Amino acid sequence: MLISYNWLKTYLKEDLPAPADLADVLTLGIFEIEGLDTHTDMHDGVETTDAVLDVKVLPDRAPYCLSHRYVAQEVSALLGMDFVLPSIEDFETTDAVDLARNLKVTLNQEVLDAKACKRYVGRYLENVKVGDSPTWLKKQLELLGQRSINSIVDLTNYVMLECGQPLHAFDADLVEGDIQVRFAREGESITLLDGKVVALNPKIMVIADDVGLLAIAGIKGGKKAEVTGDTKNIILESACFKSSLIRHTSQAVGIKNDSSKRFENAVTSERAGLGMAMLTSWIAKLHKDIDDGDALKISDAVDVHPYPDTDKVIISHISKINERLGLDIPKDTVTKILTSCGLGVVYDSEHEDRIMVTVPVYRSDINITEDLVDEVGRIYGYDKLDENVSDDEAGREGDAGENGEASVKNGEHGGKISSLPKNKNFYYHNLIRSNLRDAGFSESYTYTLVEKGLSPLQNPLTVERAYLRDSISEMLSKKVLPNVRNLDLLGLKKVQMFEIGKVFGKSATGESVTQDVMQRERYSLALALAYTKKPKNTDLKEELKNTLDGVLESMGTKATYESKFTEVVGDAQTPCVGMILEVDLDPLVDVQQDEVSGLDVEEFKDVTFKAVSTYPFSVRDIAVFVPGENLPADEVLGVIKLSLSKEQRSLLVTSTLFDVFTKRVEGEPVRTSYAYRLVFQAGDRTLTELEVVSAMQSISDGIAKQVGWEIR
Amino acid sequence: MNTSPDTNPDAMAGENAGKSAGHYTSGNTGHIHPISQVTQELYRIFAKMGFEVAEGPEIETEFYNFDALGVAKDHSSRDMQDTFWLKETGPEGERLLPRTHTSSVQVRFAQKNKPPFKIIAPGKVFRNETTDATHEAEFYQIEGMMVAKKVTMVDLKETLKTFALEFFGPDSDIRFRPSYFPFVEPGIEVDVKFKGNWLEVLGAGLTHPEVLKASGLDPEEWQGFAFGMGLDRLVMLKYGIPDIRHLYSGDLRVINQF
Repeated sequence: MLISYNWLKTYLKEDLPAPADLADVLTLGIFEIEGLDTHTDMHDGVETTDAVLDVKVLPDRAPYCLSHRYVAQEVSALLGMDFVLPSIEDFETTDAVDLARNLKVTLNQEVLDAKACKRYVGRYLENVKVGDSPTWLKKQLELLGQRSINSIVDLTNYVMLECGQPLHAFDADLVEGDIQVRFAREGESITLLDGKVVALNPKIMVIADDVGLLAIAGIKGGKKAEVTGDTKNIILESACFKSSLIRHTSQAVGIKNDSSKRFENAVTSERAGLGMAMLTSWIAKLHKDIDDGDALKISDAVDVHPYPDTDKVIISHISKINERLGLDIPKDTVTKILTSCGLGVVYDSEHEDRIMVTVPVYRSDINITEDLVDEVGRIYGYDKLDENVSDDEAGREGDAGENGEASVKNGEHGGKISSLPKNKNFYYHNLIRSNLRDAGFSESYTYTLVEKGLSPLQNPLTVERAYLRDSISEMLSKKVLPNVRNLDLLGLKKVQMFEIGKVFGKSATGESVTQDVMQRERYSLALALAYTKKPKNTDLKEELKNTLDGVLESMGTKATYESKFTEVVGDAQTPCVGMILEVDLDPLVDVQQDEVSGLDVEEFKDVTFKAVSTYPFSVRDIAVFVPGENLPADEVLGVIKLSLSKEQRSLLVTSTLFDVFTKRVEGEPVRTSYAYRLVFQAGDRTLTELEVVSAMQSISDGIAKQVGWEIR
Repeated sequence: MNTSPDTNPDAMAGENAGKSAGHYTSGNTGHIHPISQVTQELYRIFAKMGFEVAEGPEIETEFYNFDALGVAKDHSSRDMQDTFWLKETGPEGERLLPRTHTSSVQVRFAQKNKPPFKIIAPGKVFRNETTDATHEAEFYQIEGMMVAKKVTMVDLKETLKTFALEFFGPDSDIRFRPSYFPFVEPGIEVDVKFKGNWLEVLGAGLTHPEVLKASGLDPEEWQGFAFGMGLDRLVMLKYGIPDIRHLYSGDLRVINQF
């Protein structure tokens, strides 16, 4: 919700902190400020500045805080300012005399039965002048993202922003008969203010007259009784509609607006009365400014209120509030905080610690002691929890007492929390990860949502991700080929990948497909292996099974398993011979011993991610003869790198020593050959042939300078 | 090293052969995915404080994912998470969904295990959201929950501060901000100060009495705290990964850096 800083100021007697500071106060004290804009305006040579805060109001506070009025109250509570909420009496303006119309409002029986309309306040006004809004009103609305329409409609929006109550005005002369709140009939439709025609159904509540439809309740007004420049007399509506019904309607008709948002969030019913009083008072004020308002006649409000809300009372204890926080806030401070939130606090004369907290209707979010803990904690300041937070590292390592009596601190309560057994899946899956890593395999995480499977989603995002996966292999097989393409870049001879994850298909051991999806959910393990061409004497299936058998042996108990193989083939650009082995993992873990000890997780090294270039790479091989046989290979690579300019060096992304051999020939000095595969790639462009050639030339030149070195 | 006069290079490759250095690799063996690495690191941190791993299914019932956590069917709090639904229903006709958060583990675990306990529950979650650099329809979360006779906001802050100092380093700090999650009260967001900036990293709070009741526990006797955070976000922050989609690409140029 957009909140005007200047508007907030009108509620408060004291100066507010600067907008950015106020935003911090609100962010740490009640809700996140998602945006802060400053607006400067020149009018008649006078410059005015306002700041607009974009307040993220979450569902708990939405029943009251989608309004300047209650945000102002929260500001005053957080800043410890004196604050008095303007009450309904401050706005009441009734001088009902000789009106041409006697307004009647009926809620029909279905509406009453469904508690679909908690309250409907209507009011008839005669001799209304509808025109352009005064400049201040237009500007205020524009600042808060509203479009100015006419003075009456603008005021309904203004008062909604002020107190959170959605309001509506009808042209009374276009309303035929009485106002009825009822459900739409099958086949009915309504033309809305924007001209859109909406088909209705009996689940949608409408405002109707004796003849036709005036509005979709809580959502939008209809064209029939639109207030225009020709309007002379109006009927105002300030109602409270059931939140779930408006939610459904909003979804059904596809309209979300300021009104539906507030009703969906259960704006409380006392506000309907307040909203009507405020709106009427503003209309009267505007008319006084125009022509002394003599002609304007205002009827008494018609207030149909079948389900009145009453203030709640919560019995609580200061000690309980403090206990949940872990603090020891004095009773006076707790009382002051609760009072600043608009709550009434009465001490119990018999129990020093006990309080009776009266919760006004608009604070529908406060129902139990924990809600009071929230108010006290945030306003007192969660930073003050630090005073009781142990800085002692050792103190945090402890646990709850044997009888469960608290908490994180060890020293204070002693004993250990009854320790849970190690999670077998977590332990053994990690062991498998480590073992496969040591065998040269890299772990992938691919999508669970895939193109086909046994279990479809009702509302998929795309057709490519419309089913739960039956196996890991299907998606993993698509990941293999791109990696085969990058083998040189990766400095690898083969792709070895694995994945552990949940699958939802028919199990490899032939479990029935009639099982429901929750029964089918299980862990699966997939291993992928791929070469650009099949090496001699290598059977991929055997190689994969040997790897898996090795992993299972190291786990302890080796169980038998059913293998499911999926072949991976190359395409025109990338030759590939690949195979994936997938097995049901749960049976392999189930047979392992339960007792596992120690932390059993690895410590991993810190890594800074390097961006992946999207540009092509170039591969060059180079073999160098070096005198002797004891030179470390790294030294050869060092010479190669030093031969390159700094710029060229940054392009050498991978260097793989793929061959070393020593040559001994009678009568000649012993020499060793080091063969490197060098991969060049830039992060920001496609390398030109010339760039690569000149890099290789630099290497040749560098090697030529080494005594006895020779490029083969 | 071979001593023959001349040799077949393939057979003669020395022990250094195959050794590779470069931009996209941090060594010659395979690599464990950064999400797995961070999950294990979190386990190490929380296990020292007495937490053990709990699991729950990826396909959940509406009850455990929403109702038991106080996320009512017709309430706007349902809008806080865009949900996928399965076409299939459960044996009792209950609606099934790929869980929207690991918080679904809370009541499942608490119904079956006697407190006091401290658990963490890492796992995959699903949101019906369009994918971009910071959003995925599938990602990982880790849930934490403690239930004991007395659990306070100070306990929660101590636990999370320990986590932050260990994970983000000794210069990090945390702060609590009021927020709302239907299954905790008070509910908070936890910002972590990392490299000088406050980042929104966790949601947390004291376990709502209704959640304890749904777990078969008497809220007069038992108290709890819960927290949850996005594992992917931790991974991205820790390693400086700019795009969440890298984590699910199966691209060894990414994975082999770790």
